[in-house]
Amino acid sequence: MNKSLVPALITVALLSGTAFAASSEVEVRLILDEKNILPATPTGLRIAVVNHGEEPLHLPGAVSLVARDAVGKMFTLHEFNMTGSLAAPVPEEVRVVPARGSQELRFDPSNAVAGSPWLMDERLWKPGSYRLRAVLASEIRPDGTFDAGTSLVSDEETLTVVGPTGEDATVWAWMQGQKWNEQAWMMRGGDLAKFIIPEHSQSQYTLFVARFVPQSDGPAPLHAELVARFPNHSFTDQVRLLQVHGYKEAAGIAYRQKDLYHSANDWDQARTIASGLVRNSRSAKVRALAKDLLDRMPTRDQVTKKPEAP
Amino acid sequence: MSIAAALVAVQASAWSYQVNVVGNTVNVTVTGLTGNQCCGGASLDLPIGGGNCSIPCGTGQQTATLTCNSVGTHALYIWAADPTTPTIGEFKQTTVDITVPPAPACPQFDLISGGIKVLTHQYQDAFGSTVPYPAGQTADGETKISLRPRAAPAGTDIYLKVIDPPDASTYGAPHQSDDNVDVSAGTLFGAKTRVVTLPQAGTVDLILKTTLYASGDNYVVQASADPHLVTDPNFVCDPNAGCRSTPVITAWKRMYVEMDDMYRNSQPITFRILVGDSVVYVNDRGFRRGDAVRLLHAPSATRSEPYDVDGFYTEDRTIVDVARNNNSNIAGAYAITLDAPLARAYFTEGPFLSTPMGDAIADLSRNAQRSADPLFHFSQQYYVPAFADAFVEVIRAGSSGVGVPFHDAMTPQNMAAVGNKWLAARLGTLPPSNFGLATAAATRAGLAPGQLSLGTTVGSFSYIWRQNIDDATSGPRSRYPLTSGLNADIVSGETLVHEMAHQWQVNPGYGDGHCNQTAYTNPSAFATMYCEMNSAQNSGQYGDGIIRFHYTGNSPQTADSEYMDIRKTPEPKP
Repeated sequence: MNKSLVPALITVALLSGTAFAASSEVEVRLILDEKNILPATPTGLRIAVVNHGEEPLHLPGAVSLVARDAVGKMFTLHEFNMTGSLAAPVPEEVRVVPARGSQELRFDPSNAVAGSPWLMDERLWKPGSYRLRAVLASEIRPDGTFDAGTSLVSDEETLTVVGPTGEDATVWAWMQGQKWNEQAWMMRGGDLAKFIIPEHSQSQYTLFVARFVPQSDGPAPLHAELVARFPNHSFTDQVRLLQVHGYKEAAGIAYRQKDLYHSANDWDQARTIASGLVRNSRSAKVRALAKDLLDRMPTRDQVTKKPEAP
Repeated sequence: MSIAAALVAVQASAWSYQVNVVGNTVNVTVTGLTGNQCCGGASLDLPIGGGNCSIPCGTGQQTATLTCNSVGTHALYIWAADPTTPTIGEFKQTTVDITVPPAPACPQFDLISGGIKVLTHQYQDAFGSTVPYPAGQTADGETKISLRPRAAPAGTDIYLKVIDPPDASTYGAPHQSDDNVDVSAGTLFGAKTRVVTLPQAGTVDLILKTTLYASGDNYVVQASADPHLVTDPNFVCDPNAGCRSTPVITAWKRMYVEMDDMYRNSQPITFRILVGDSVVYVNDRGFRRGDAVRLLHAPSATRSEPYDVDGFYTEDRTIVDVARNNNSNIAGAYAITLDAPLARAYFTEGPFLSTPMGDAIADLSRNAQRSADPLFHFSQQYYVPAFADAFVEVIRAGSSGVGVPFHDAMTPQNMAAVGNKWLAARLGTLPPSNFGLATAAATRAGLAPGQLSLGTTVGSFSYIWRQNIDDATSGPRSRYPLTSGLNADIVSGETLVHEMAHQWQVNPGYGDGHCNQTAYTNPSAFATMYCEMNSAQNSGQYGDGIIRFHYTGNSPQTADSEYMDIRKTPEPKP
């Protein structure tokens, strides 16, 4: 027999005066990759569900994040700000938490920054502390409410949006002057890159314009610099994936030019980065993506032993 | 009193004119007109345009008689239109001296408005060709109002007042005066009233400053030599007592919409194509020898690659062979050989918002719907009148002409990414103002079982799910009880209006942009006609070809209405 949902606690409407609590049989934790971020930047997050019970647990189909700011104002964050959607679907493959087992929902930042789940909600872009909770519910209504009887709520995780200083402040001021929002990240990331890279490259915002530098002819030198400078940042795995793409492009171009030596070298570089992601990424999604890329890469022998060009 | 007469003959390119001043009257004859239709006219002091027209042109001659003119030297504008002139006609100018005063029965002065439509914003910032302002307008939220003396002596003070007439919309009627949303707008040099002094000849020009956002707000300018016009709130502007009024001048928003069509069958290329290549690599099967194909290229999603300068392009070829690709150095499961080398380069690209990007190859011969048309389409017959009801002028912007590669089961992130890359107006990186995209596409992802989506809007990007619409209108009633049997073209056209309304973020009080209301009026055959944004209840009415939103309330300022949401939205739109 499958276990029915553990009754959760409260609706959003009641949250302000009531502490969240989890069932003793189910533990839901929200874990941010970084607890301190710059305004308008993303980080990865995961929601871990541990089932201490003796029966499998079926998770509800939607997940949302509820934030409470420093003055206690509570709001349900937009999962994808451009649509105003509040909830992300819980993937089918993690819907069942086995007895005495666990499941993890992973949400990575987008390489374009736009589309990064929940962190593009502009209400989170004001410097300050925000206490976040994840809500797993069968439905998150448009007003942010959900059925208290069938939902699961995580413990609280604090996100601090730091007030930018120095070069970061200069960049943030420029962004604010441009009325920056999620759509601006998508459509105008190139403009931001052109503002940052020549004169404000010491800003930490440089990391987030990685997708907006040219890489069609090979890996962007900036990407290597960013990986070296921010080796452990959540977003850096996205930069590493960009590097893999850049080396693939370079390898293809070299192969087309019958330069097998450089083609093999570029594939080696791509393979090294992808292997590192498979081993070390904190994101199961990134690990799986890197593994898939790795599986499709030719070996050095394959490159050098098949000289015929198309 | 002597009779002053002058005769001037001017020979010009294709047409000419003659001017004859008799007493106070100016007679103008336009000659030399040709073609199946010709027009001619004249005006003093202002290039008003317009006149008499003849079909066929006949003698090639038109006349104009200008009476009740003030004493003095006037600019005389002669206007003509025939096949030798620009479409809007052509002006020529001279001067005339009026020495005989007008008859006592003549009006004291004229009050002339440049036009009856004022754009809150033109927003020409994003496009190559500029769509001009309406007649009489030269700046956002401004239109010219002119006073011209006739019988009134020079130095006469004329009092002017801007009033707010009742709203002109059919919803919410009957309307009241003073119901504009932007109550502070509608001024002449910063005030609702003004006094000017008439010159001996020529005009006094004033600028009526209208709202910069509230479409549908309207104005009338009144002018009188009687100062009670501006001091007495009960003053009645009686034309028989010398008071003049402009026509109702109404503020309009303008939005630009790029309309694109998605291919029914295409695949992203997996390996860069260089100039001269004739083999294309893809990952999926489905293309066959003999198929007509089209290579599709767009600038990069980030608009940051060197090749972006080449813009959009396509090339058509025929497949001569499809084979498995056994070369592990080349990404792609299949190698498609074309009948001729390609003259342009095509590029792969990393994902953007988790969406595969890059150039594509479209199959023009074969698709899952077995359609002879390789592209999805939607009907465009409803959006212009539908948004005109909210006083929004919709300009269809030019598209790339390339089309959009096939994407099935699109997520909102896919919609944002695909729209962003294939948006022709985004030739630079700046998003255009008051801009929208509407794409005829296939299907969307993430719907619960039993749910049907006809369209989706992400920000300013609307997708009309034409494959879903075709399925839902042609499928059995048991499966599609509300939409089976409806006309798919009509449904697509109504869906387009619904989605474009989402771009204005209507119904903020309802949570997801939809409402649960009935239409403000019911011209349909249904007992109850639902609002176009009432998705749940209107589903069976998306095929009636009647577009109505809801309007509940007593005043445009406070009504619950999509019309008013659009009208009140600050610009640029979200």
